[in-house]
Amino acid sequence: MQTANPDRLRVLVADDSTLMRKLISAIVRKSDMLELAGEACDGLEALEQAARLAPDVILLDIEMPRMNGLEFLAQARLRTAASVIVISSVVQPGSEPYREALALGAVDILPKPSGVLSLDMEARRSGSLLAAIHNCRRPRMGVAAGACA
Amino acid sequence: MNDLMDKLWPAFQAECSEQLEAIELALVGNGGATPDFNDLFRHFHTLKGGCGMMGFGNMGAVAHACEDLLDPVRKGERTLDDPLIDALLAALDCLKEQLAFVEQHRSDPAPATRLLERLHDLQATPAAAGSDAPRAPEMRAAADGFAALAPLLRDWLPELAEASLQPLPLPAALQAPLRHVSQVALASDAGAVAELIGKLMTAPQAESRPHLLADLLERISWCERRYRLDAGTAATAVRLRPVLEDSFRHLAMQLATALKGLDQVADEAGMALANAESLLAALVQQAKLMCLEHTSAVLREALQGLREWRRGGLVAGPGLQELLHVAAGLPAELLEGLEEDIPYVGMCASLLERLQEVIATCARGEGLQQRQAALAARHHLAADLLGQLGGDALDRLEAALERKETLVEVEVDLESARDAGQAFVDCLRATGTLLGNRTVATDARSGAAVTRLSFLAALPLAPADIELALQAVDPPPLHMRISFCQGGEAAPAAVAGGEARVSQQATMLRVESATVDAFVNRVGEMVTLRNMMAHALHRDDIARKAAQVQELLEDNTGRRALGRAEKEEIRELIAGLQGQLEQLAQADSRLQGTLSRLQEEVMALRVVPISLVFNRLPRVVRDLGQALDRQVRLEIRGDDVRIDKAMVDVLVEPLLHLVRNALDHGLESPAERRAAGKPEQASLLVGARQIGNTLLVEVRDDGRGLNLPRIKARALANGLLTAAEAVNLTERELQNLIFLPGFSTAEQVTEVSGRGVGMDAVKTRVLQLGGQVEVSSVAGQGATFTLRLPLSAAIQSVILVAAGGRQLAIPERNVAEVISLPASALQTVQGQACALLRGATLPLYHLAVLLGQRDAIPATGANLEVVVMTDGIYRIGLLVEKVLGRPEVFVRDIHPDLARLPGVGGASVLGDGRVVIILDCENLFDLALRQAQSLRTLLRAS
Repeated sequence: MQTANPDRLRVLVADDSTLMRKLISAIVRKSDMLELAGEACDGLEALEQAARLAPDVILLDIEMPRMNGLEFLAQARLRTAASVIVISSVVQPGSEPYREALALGAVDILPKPSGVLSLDMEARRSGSLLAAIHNCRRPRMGVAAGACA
Repeated sequence: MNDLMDKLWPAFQAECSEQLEAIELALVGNGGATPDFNDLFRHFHTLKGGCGMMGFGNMGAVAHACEDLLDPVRKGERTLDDPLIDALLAALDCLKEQLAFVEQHRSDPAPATRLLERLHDLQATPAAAGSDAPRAPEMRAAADGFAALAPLLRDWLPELAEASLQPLPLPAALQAPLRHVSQVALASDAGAVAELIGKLMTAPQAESRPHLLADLLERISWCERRYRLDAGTAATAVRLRPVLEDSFRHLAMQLATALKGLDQVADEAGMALANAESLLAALVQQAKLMCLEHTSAVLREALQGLREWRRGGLVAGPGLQELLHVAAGLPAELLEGLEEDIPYVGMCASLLERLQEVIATCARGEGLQQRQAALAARHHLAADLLGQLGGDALDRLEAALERKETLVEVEVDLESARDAGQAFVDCLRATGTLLGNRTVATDARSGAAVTRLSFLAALPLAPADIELALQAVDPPPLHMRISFCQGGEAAPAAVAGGEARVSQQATMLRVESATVDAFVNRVGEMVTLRNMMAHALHRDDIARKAAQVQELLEDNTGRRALGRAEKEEIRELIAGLQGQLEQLAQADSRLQGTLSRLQEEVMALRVVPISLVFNRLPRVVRDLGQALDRQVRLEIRGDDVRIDKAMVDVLVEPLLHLVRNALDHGLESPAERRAAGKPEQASLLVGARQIGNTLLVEVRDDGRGLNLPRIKARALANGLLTAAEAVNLTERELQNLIFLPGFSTAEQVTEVSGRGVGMDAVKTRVLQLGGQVEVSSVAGQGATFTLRLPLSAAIQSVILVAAGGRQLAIPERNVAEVISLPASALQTVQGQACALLRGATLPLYHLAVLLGQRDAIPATGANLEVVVMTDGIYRIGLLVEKVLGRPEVFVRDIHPDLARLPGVGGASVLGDGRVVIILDCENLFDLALRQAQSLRTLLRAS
């Protein structure tokens, strides 16, 4: 067993598709910087898990039974300090759910992994997913510095 | 196929069939209840996602089209009417076929062109608007929690914010009040507030605090707006703005510079883009700190736009330029608005709208996929090829198609023909339009790893001319392969139709049935091993040998006398051996108990809910009801009763038959029912119950019931009954005539049922399962068919043989092999027939003789058919007349008196209705042993 890196970001994956959960969790597990905190298969479960596991990042699907991603975002605002990244294919850039997700505090929105798996998963999608996760948690800059590194 | 795909494959399969099943159930659900649109939408959506992920675009396209159809429904803009349901059912069938194809070939099926057209047409047809779907009620808890928290935040937020931006630890005076705020936050379900305050108090580096504070302020101001409560962000803003305005202005200037240097080509602008992005992110944070929620919303939208662009989610074009222009001007504009103190909210709103519009028009995502799918379907183009094309390339493609140009894909081997390839590409570019390219890493036919580049081009030339041009650069076409993509009817998604498979739907744990089967086999092996061990323990008689040693020990005649001490020592050793043997025997008997329990438990793993069978009924009832003009309300009861997995497949057929039969023969048309004073909607009940170890499945309809006079007449006409017999038949006996082979009362032989093989087929199947079927009926009120089945049917593979003129079955688990020997191989050793098999002597027995048919004449063909059996220790060969097959049968218990007969283990009914005896192997070995003239001819296996 690898010793836990205290700086690793703990990630909760919320998606009603077992397949997607598996894939996304696999991406998370592969990264040295991330740790899979848990998986939830709908919004209610995600809320409960978020409270219990206190993850740093939640990867959230929009279309889910019982409580969908948008409802979850509204509920999660006060309940969990985790940064929520929406991973969904229903929300295309500029669309209404896309805007709503941003307005509800999603820190980023990514499309679901798709296409030929080997290429996508290894190189592109997981790359942009991991980049998005790190981006959202890196403290941006000090006020005094006045500029970005 | 790669590792990851292999790994995800079972999940993909399981998910697809689960979604398809759920869709079917939702569409034709029990009792005609309105399906849950959201669920339905989600199922198609999940399906689409899975297909997309695995690269099955054409399958995904169907799911996608369904999703599009359902979107207006769930938004309440359209009702789920019959044409829509029919189309969705057609799509469902197509998806099932496509899944079957995908499962078989692991590649994308052909595009379902016709279906997609139908779905798209339907989408274009406006339908009656449905009622507004009521939104889920808001959760009040969060509002109440925030209400409790707001006064505290009002008191302490400004100070916390100010202190957090200082490069010093938070003042001690703040610690106690903040802890209190955290506690209240935790108690009022606002864990985020507690966590962020906690981090602000303990953050080791002052640099991370602005980030945390920005997050906290953003959350709080969002709640303020949502719950209409003041929680101190306004006061905080007043304190922070003067401190932060300068750096905000500074960042804004930097951003404007960074964006100006940004070219439109994303690839080359990588660094500049990343720089602009992080500047914008910093600005967003500043805006949050100043509690400028509208400003931060606009900036964030711009940031998101840049991110999408960088990731390739936006298509480069005029829209993007505008986005950049807007983004560059943003902070300055916002700042001006601030300074002049005009109500900047309106300005923000219009800016936000402009940005969103720009982003939406450049969006690649769904719109593009839709275009790709539509093009692929309409022009029979490969979906994977189109998937590589962006919006502008698609524009060019559409234009070229309109000009009726030839679409061609050229694959160039990069390693061997870089120059020739370049020459041809130049030639393509000169004459036509290059639409796109992709790298090809594996050969489509051989699967070998290759390095090829594939170009898609549209040319205003005939295919023959293009081939000529290709020959000019690559005379014998060695390095380039050309394929014409267009024209010709694409083969429809022709896939093995077949019976839809019943998928495994478990509520708790999903295990592949193969895993369970392997487990079952493993347990079976363990049982065999235990038997071998028990054999070694008991049959080899260690105890007897120990006793012999003891005897020898005590018998001193003619041997060297052992000393007293030596004797004592040996006696102790023997006693020790006997004790250990005793322990082993005890352990063995416990092992046996545990193993048999394990075996039972393993069998329980194969148990699934009967809903797997019942779920198929609603669709059948719906389709058939439409075809036959019946209005039927199907009620399903007891679908949680659990049955053996193997029974699912066997039960489906008879049950479907009974249901079809009820609709075809039992239930009347609405007009007939009205005339008979019944409600127009007929009722059909299918229920399952468990009574003890028996499963009762009932199919009850409220139709016209069995027509007894007609049954009698038909039975007489078909010669199933003589006139004399007919007189004495009871009503019950009359009803049961319908189960006789060759009976059918339907006036016409219809498509649906009434092929004259109906009810007797049902009966045979049920008998095979070890069950019974009964019918009871009241004229004019309906009929009830009841199936009684053993809940746990034992299924076994057997070797079916002919011996002594009879069919007999030998359980396969005891059969080592089935061989055919030349008659000359037969030898007799000390009166025992045997044959040499791979160097070892195999004793042979005539099966019929072994079973007591002394007079059975052994067949003397050219070849001897031998079934080699083993009990783990010995092997014997059974001579049979013929080996007939290897069916799977349901073993039925037989009467104890019969079971006592030598060699008889059980009985089963074969597919043709004949009863076959299943032999008991242990018993057979005993018989063989008894018959063997000498034990020595039984040789040890290996």
